[in-house]
Amino acid sequence: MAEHQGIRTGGCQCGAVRYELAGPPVEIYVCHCRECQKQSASAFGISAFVRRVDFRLTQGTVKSWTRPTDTGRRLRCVFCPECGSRLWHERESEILPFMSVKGGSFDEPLDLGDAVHIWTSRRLEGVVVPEGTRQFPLEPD
Amino acid sequence: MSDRRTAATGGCQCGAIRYEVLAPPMKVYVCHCRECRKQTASAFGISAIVRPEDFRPTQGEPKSWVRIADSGRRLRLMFCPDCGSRVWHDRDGIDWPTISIEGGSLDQPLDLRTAVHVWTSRKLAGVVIPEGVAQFPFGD
Repeated sequence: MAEHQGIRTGGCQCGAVRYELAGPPVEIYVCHCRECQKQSASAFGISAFVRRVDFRLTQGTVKSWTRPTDTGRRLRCVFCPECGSRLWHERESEILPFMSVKGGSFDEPLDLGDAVHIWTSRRLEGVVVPEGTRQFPLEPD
Repeated sequence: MSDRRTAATGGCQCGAIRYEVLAPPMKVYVCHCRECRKQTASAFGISAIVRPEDFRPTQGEPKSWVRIADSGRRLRLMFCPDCGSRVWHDRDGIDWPTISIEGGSLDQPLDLRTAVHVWTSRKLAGVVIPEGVAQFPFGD
């Protein structure tokens, strides 16, 4: 299993927004859906689930954009207003025990070796899902 | 004359910024550097290289942030002020012969099978580079 103990700080590309984690991410998802391709402007999004009580914004002011999800919920997508980098996603109307921090925003490289790949039916040609990975063509149940 | 029909369209996640491309990308790079991890908040950046004359913003006013690259070049990074999505990168203050479209912003899924992978020395563990592709531990 991948160890995520070193993942303790992060922020946007320009450095205006910074955060700290009191505990490491507990589960990592790599999502190949169209929304994640657009939000990352890359091949997939990375959601690192951390306990909300472990997360602390230490610098900067964030901006957010809210979108409806397929399940009828509203997702608040938080980013840096100065450079645009995504930082985390959370539910708009309820506070859940976990939040989805975007994996590329960590200062230390995140190990994706134990990540669960979802929406692999939308995977870009030329993106390899490693052998033995837990994967789901759509969302897991 | 080249065919001036639209080859591809793209935009940000919320739809405020839209663009069209009049020719297929000349080259596609997958960049595993730390800056690209931060800008995508994902594992790597995707640059689809097009000529400025083949690129046309069609809707919205992007915001930009300028950073100085290791090479000393001033990169102008364009993103949507409403949702933050990166849309393209160009150069600040000078005309440059290419524009780098951020690959995930294209409406049509991009085929990365022939993409050139750069900065593979910074690749995240658990990211697999397809066999046989051109790859460079640092820049191209």
